[in-house]
Amino acid sequence: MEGSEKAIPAELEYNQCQEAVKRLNDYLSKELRPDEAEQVERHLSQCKGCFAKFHFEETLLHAIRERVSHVRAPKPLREKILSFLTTSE
Amino acid sequence: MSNESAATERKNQRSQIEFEKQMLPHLDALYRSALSMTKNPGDAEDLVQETFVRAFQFFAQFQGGTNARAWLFRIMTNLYINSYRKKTREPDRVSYDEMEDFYLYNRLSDAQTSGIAASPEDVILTQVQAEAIRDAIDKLPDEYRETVVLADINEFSYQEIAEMLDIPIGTVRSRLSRGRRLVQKSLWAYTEANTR
Repeated sequence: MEGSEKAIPAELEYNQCQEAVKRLNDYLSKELRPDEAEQVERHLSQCKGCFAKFHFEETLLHAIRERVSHVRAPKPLREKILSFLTTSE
Repeated sequence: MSNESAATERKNQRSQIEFEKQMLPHLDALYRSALSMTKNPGDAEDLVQETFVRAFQFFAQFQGGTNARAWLFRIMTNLYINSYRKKTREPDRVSYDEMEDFYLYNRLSDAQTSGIAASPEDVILTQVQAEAIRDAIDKLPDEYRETVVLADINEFSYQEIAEMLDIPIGTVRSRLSRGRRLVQKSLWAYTEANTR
């Protein structure tokens, strides 16, 4: 079965999509075991539908992370912490 | 100054410098997360300041070489849960049953098909502003918000989050899954309102 070049029957294909989708959140969080991650990756390389959806989820996650990361600590807070450090014994 | 107190002073200075070097680079990330957790700039500043005071007090217990960021977040999460998070939890009024996987993708794909929007990814990359994202995170119920902030903004592992929030890993997993769906729901509402 593993690495077989034969066409995947529709039923199995459907199950594979389901199995991949079940692992979406863990996949996004990089929490899958290496063998599971590899299975999902393999499915994504064979299934356009899942690839598009997973790719979208990854894009969204990166956009969320990137757009929230522009917020910086206010200067007075940094100064307060620094002055606390220099005056504390 | 006696030799002894001069030595103590040098030691203090060394630990201050060491503390600044190891902990201060995480100030922005802590503040951002404090702001998402408390939803209030004043509370966020107090929470971060308290975190640094506490961290400095316990700096001797911090093992060099371990993850300073995770250590600081652990202290902050703890303070937040004990002092800032609302004592009476809002009842869970959100229904998740109707929320399918790929909620946002499916809706954006439909919008694209009917010709009223660009591709789902283009919408995310060009139309969804930082404000909409912050707003979507702010609207999450506390426990989902904490988990999403720690996992998706700060990239902590399930294990680290479980330790910080003192909950089982399975709970981290389910809160994250629901939190992500709720964020998508808010972003869809935002996109829908802005593509008209």
